Amino acid sequence: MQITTLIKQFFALVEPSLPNEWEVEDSLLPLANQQERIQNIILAQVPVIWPVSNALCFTFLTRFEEILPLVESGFLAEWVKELLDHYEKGGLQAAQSCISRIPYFISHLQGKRGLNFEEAKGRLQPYINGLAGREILLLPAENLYTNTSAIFVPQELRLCADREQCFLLYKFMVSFQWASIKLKTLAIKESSDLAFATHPLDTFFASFRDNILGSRLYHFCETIRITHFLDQELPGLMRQVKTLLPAFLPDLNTRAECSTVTELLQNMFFVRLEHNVSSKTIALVKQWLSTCKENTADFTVSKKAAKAIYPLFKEETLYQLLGMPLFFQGELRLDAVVAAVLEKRKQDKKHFLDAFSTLLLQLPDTVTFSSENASDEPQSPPSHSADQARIVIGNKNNENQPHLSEPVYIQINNQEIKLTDELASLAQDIIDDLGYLPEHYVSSAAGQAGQSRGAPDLYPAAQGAGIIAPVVYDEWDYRRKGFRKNWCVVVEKQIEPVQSTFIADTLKKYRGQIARLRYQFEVMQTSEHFIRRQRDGDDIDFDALVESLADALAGYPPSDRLFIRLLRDQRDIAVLFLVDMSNSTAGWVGKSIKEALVLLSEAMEMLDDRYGIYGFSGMRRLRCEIFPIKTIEEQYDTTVQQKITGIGPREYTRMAPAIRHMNALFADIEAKLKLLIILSDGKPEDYDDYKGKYAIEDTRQALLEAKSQGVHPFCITIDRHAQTYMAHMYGPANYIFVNDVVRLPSLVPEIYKVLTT
Amino acid sequence: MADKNTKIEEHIIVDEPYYLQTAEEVNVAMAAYTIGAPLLLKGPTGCGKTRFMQYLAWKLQRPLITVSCHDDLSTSDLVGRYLIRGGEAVWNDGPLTLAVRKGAICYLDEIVEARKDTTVVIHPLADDRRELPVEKKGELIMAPPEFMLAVSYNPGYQSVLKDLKTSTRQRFIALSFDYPSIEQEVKIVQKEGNVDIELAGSLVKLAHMTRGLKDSGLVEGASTRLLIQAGQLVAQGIPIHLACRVAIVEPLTDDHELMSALDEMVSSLW
Ligand SMILES: Nc1ncnc2c1ncn2[C@@H]1O[C@H](COP(=O)(O)OP(=O)(O)OP(=O)(O)O)[C@@H](O)[C@H]1O
Ligand SMILES: [Mg+2]
Repeated sequence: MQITTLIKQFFALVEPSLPNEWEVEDSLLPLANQQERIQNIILAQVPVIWPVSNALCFTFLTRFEEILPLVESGFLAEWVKELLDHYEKGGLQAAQSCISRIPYFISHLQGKRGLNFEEAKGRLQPYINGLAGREILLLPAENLYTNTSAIFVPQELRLCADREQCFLLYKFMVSFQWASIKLKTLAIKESSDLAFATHPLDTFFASFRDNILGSRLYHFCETIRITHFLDQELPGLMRQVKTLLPAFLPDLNTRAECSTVTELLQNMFFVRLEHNVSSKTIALVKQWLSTCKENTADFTVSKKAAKAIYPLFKEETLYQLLGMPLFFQGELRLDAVVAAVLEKRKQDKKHFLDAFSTLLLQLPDTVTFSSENASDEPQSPPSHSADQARIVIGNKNNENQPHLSEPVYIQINNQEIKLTDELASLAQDIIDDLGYLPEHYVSSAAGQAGQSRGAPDLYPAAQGAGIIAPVVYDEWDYRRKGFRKNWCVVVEKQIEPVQSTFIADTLKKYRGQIARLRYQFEVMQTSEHFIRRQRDGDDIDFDALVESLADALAGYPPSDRLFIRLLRDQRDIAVLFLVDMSNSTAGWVGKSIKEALVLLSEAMEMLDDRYGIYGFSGMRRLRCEIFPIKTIEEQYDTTVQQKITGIGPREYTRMAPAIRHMNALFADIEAKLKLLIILSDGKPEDYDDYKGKYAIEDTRQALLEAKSQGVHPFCITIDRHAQTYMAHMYGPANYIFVNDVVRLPSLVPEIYKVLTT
Repeated sequence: MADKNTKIEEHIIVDEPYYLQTAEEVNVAMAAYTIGAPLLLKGPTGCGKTRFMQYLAWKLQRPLITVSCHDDLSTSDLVGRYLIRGGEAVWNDGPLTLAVRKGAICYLDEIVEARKDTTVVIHPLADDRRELPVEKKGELIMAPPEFMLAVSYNPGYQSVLKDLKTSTRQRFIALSFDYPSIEQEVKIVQKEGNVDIELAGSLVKLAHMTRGLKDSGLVEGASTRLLIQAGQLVAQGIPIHLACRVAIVEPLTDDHELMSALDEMVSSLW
């Protein structure tokens, strides 16, 4: 079709409208030289687009060349639907950027995708941990949001097909959410009342006539504050984002001179603003936004700004001004924040109670506790002043050092109890959250401690049935500084070998790591080294020779140790791994421990070090159970693998009898270095009164027995809150915390390597 | 080693080394010097221990003799031995003996690396006896008041086979070194790395990010030393991304994911 025919056709299609003829001609020009088949396909869309927007229809035609690939691939009709969607939501600019994104659209439809979260996570998780200086978990979800303790990230990015760009978008999304956590966009301020499980922002948003609009406006102000912070904090990231962003945000006015992402976003807003309101209003809005950007601004400034800006506009106008939510802003999920805060509060309380009651138990008996105080939660939330624990803040002796403002002492019954560092920081966390330390936390801890003071259960129900060749061990009672003779009955029980895909899965999952570990372990084994000053050897030690000649000349008896010997196999190591199988290891912990054992065994095969693996659990002193998984003589084979598979959570953690049993095993083993490596997830504890200080002291005693027997104990624990007692039980530097369970499998062999080289 | 006796002056530090005090360590060390107590410096790698010793030596105007310990270091290496010269046996002082004779400061770096039987020779020097028995010569040298002994070690993550014996550690005044505070570290990096305050600030920010990665498998984060080197590379005209890659990311880890996460931090900052 010639251009004239095209024009005629066009007018027929848009009847009864009578558009400007030169405008029609201009937009049809690119189409003029095409095959008739293609021309017809394109023209067929005109009646679809024209009634929605004439301008859009012209744009569609002028940008024909970009649209051509859609014609070829047969996706045109589908894409036009999306185009109209975008137009309706975001106007002509949104539609324009929809045209720019055609290549992504096609590759997406063709099943090529950019990047999914799982692929990005390996890089993103440590990245965000580094930014935050602590772990902020990244979890997959439908949409982007944060509950302030974790960041939820969309499984898949549908925004583009280029993998590196996708990664950058992910990176920006999580960085933005991190910044919003850091800047406390969603923070619940201390002492605000969470009794009704509502977020204070809920109340704030409800104070607007349209609460959704209120929240959008607040979030917009916060977004300006956050991007401004990021512009300063992570300029490299923001520079990349700035060039990438216009492809994804329909409205961004790329022609404007903007040097930062913040300016870009503000500019988008102002451009919309200019069409709508007086210059006085504009100045006012600008004023508020720059207040949000001041370095001293916090989220309350954004609240004020939202309150001030809202009444300046009609609500429809405000919706238009704000446009669509930006993809990196994420949803404001106040319910999730509340849930996370309550969960953390619960955890904080538990840790505080555990740590504080342990501390109390370590004190001399002068502090009196009554167990009645132990009633846990008060019936109704007491008023703050009634429930405030008496704490002394700051270092008492150093009033001129005001920065030491952590709680240091807690008063109970007119006694001041000095807090350990761990407790002080736990208490600080609680104060940061609640604004004060509740008295009932302190009294509950005292109650817990009081209960543990009672003597262990002297008449536990005998459960002798099924015991095969039991061994009896003493137990240490710190209160009488003596042993309870023949107190614990330990029995070795078989673990049923289990066949499943666990071993194969683990070997596959850690393929690379295993290969690397085996190599590293092999190197350890063949580590050769020279020992000097030997009576005989492969080579002459010249230093020694010269020295002895010199000694002889000087009249001293010369040494006859003049040789160097190459030692190949100096490792004479026997190690027993003792694995906690208490029921708290259910789930992730247990799985990681099992994976760790597989990796370890795979690596140990490269060494001549002898090793055994034992599990332990049980209930009460008459039924302490040991599960041999691999004895020190046994080969690592399918049976051992199946026993590892069969490891599962059982009962309690009476650790000392298990250690004593290992000591007994070690007594029959000859080795230069004897190592006992314990993998555990918490403190020793049994069903009866075996807990608290009693359990810790008994375990410590068992470890001392090990040391006196020449066994080096070392503990790998997954309990982050173990500080108070670990050093006491194991001695400094004889334990390590693994905070991230997922890393346990690769860390255990690593730790073994470090320990023995 | 042969000519050590004649070169003690070379161990005198003439120009004031740049050292930024991070807490009270200088005062404590000066006091320890006065009461004749030895120093134990603990801390992660590259946090300024060696530099501190240089500064202290300068301040006290004593020569500084540094020995890097390794597992082959024998007692003779420290104390001295006979050598044959022109058919005659000539005694030659080891660095420790030299330091004691001349009233210098002897700094044993990474003491845990030395064999335990070597470490014990410092025992009589490190308590109130302050004497060094030179067995082969049958000589007992009393340390003059100017002599000072200092040792360093990194308690981070030790092998059970390598820990300092209690009887050794309980002789020392221990100074714990850690990474300096942000402002101080920025100053140090700026000065030593020869970069502007802005770049120094970002480098320190990067260091803090890497130090937050303990749970993610990075045992020790970037030390001040690495930051300085990165800065120096930049001052030599190496682009910042590359400088961070070669001076910080690569030295820290071989783990692929960690490396790319570190790269992401670098590209976020610049
Ligand atoms: N407080 C400080 N004042 C001045 N410079 C410092 C300070 N701390 C660290 N540095 C700089 O860091 C660099 C590394 O410090 P140094 O060599 O003293 O580390 P180190 O603790 O001895 O490390 P290593 O244990 O690895 O030997 C020094 O060269 C110096 O430039
Ligand atoms: Mg050094």
